[in-house]
Amino acid sequence: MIIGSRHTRPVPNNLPTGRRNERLTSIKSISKRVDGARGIPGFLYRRTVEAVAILCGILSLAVPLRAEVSEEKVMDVAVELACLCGDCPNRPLDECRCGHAGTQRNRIAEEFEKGKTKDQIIAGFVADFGQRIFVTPPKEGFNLMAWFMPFFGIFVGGYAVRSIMKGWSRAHTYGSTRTPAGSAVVSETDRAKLEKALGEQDT
Amino acid sequence: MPDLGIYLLYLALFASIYAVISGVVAAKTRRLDLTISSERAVTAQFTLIALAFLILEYLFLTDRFDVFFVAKSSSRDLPTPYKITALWSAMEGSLLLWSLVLASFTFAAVHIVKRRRGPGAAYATAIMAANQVFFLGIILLYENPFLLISDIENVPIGFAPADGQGMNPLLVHPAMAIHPPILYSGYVGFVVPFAFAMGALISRNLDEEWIRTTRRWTLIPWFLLGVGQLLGGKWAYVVLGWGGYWGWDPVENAALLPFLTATAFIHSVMIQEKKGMLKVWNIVLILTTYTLCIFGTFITRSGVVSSVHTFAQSPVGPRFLGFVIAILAFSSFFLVRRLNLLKSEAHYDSPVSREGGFLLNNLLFLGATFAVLWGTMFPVLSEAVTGSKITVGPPFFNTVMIPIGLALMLLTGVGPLLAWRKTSPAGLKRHFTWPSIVALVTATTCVAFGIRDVYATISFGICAFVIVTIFSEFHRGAIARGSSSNESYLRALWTLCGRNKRRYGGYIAHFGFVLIFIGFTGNAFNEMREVSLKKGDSFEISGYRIDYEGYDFHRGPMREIIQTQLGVYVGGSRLGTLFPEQHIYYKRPDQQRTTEVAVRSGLREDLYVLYEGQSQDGSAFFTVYVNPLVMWVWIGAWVLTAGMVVVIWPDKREKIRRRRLTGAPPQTQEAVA
Repeated sequence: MIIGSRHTRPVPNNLPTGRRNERLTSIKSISKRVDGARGIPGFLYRRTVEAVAILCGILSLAVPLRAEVSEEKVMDVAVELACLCGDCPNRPLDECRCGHAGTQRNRIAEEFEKGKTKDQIIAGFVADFGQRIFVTPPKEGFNLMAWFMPFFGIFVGGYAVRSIMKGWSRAHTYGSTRTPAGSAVVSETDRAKLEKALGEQDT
Repeated sequence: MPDLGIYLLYLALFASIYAVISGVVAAKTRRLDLTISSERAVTAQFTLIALAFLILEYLFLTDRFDVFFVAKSSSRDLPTPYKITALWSAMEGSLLLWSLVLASFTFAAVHIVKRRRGPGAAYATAIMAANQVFFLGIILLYENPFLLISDIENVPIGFAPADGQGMNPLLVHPAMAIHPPILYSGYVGFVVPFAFAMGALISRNLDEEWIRTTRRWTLIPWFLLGVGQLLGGKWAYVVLGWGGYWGWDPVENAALLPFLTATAFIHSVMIQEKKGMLKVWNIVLILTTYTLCIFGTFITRSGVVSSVHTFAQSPVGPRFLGFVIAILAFSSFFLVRRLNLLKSEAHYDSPVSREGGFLLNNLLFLGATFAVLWGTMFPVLSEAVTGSKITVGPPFFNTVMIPIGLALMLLTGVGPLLAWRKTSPAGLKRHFTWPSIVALVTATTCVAFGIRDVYATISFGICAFVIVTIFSEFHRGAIARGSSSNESYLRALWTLCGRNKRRYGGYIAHFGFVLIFIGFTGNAFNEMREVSLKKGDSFEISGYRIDYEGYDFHRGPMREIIQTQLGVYVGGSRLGTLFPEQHIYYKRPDQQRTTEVAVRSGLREDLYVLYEGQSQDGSAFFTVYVNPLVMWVWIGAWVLTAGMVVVIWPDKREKIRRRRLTGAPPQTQEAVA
């Protein structure tokens, strides 16, 4: 029996407390309940099913339809949030396997079932945990610096290296009496031979 | 016996203080007797710390639970090898191990470079001893491993509990037994090049001598730091059960930072040796590397950033921060004072040259260092500025570091083939045509086989490019050697590596990195499933069929073991059996549980199974990963090791060359006197 969904497995009785607290639903236990209905006499079973179907039809006019929450939909939210259990290195909720992450994924599924949107669910998490619930710094305000600075640092470093190289180049051109490499004094063939030899000698 | 340990540490502290004073005075007065005296103090310091270390090991092996640290970290039923490694499983012992490694490096460096005595070496001895003074001071004042329980708690003198609390079960693993000593050797080893660079600065002997003296002393800690991190990754992979080996955790990042700057250093020193350039830069790099080593220790032991690997909170954190600031201030002061003596000889013609390649290499390594440091410390900075905590998790580092990593890997292939001063268009064409074609073919093949991950496709293409450049270098060299000496191809290859160990060992190390990079790229294709199985059930993942064949239960002296059995099939034929386990440490008050991952490793992928527990109806829960190409990370580590062995293997020819270059025999005691 395979349970594909990460947030629908039964709670193992011998897991640590954190994991045991996961509010999970067993697909197996659901299927058992369906099997049990077969004990009811046939006509009564059919009548019951028909009555339930009619009742569902009436109710569906009164309340919004709740589509089953797909795993992808849950993971779409979970991928943006961090596991804050303290035992994992701030892994995204969709990857982390600890009990806390399972609980949080269930919360996402439940909130979708209640009809909340992705933004509303995330806002709820932010209200409970603050900005640190995001697995990466939000791209706004001061936190934008987190994303910007590494590449800015490399850009500034690159500019500095370019300036230094230019300085060296000038110093060499004006200060050296040696023949600059690449001048026409050495023929192309000789230079190729020289480069090959240098390439083999140099470390 | 514990008292003896404390006395030995105090004596080692006095010996270190004496080594600092005598080293400085010897450097200033150029007195040989004081130089020798400071060297003997270093020997005494090493001997005393080693004895204290052995005494602590003896206390662990004899279950002396009246000693607080032993009672906290060991237990009677702990297997003997782990009683030995329990010493470095907590703060007090790990600091003593750090101190011993530092003493060993100082002792070895002082005695091996004895024949090049001079003011620079004397200052270096004093600086290494000063570091030891700091660590011994921290141990004796804040984290003394020899204190008795009665010294700490309100119990009668000599009180000893019947048994110890035991070692953290997560640390009971062979990789964790050797990971800390290797990683510490990497961190601490950089004290030698740091001290010699500072010695050169203070004594104004700023030629390339300090680089030549410390070349191997830089390569060894660099290698140990890299291997230490890989061992830590291996431990995380098979013990922590995250399904991965690297999580961009602050403590992992702390070890990566000095590794990155040291990698930049071991490349840029080549420019100074060959061309007399980048003198200031190389000093800055080695000072930064050692500062980052201490900074990493501060991160690990201060709790300033949250991490799964940190030691328990301790008062040593602020002291380490103070030490980092002191190192920065001390080294910056002398660097600024000596700037006028560090003028480089500018021989530069074109950016398309070996020099240009090295500069770009350094830029990228420093950029990577800054990105990792920035990401690691940004939560602290953001909280200070905005008042709210934020998280910088693995996706941030992956986003920032993957492009930098790809650029560095490309440069690994391009750099070594560029000529010094300038590479002509013909040279570029000759060296890069075939590698570029192979890279394009590889990337196209990846796309044709359905790989849609852009970074993974680029990565495979670049790795193919670098592999071709490395092998073509070996091939060209062997052909040239064979034609000039009439040696067979294989013989020529062997001679080539033997005669230019640094160059060809470096290529082998580069090849190791390519393999590691291929392993990293496999992360893009990881698959994961959670399953619940009853005996006889099966499921499929990534072409494997896995049958749950039942479980077994053992109760040992330390733990209960639930061992499950899974049959692995592909296409109807049985490949083997996996035994994922869960261990319950029933004697511990917290009944700690650990998972023993079952891994079926192959060159193509790892089938990685975690047993997570069982429900009352007998269903067992498993998390199953298929992690492609992980094996190449470990293979790459071995190839890197082989490359390093070639590079650091003693070379008689090099010694002779150096003697000819200097035109005189190495400095002797008499010469100094």
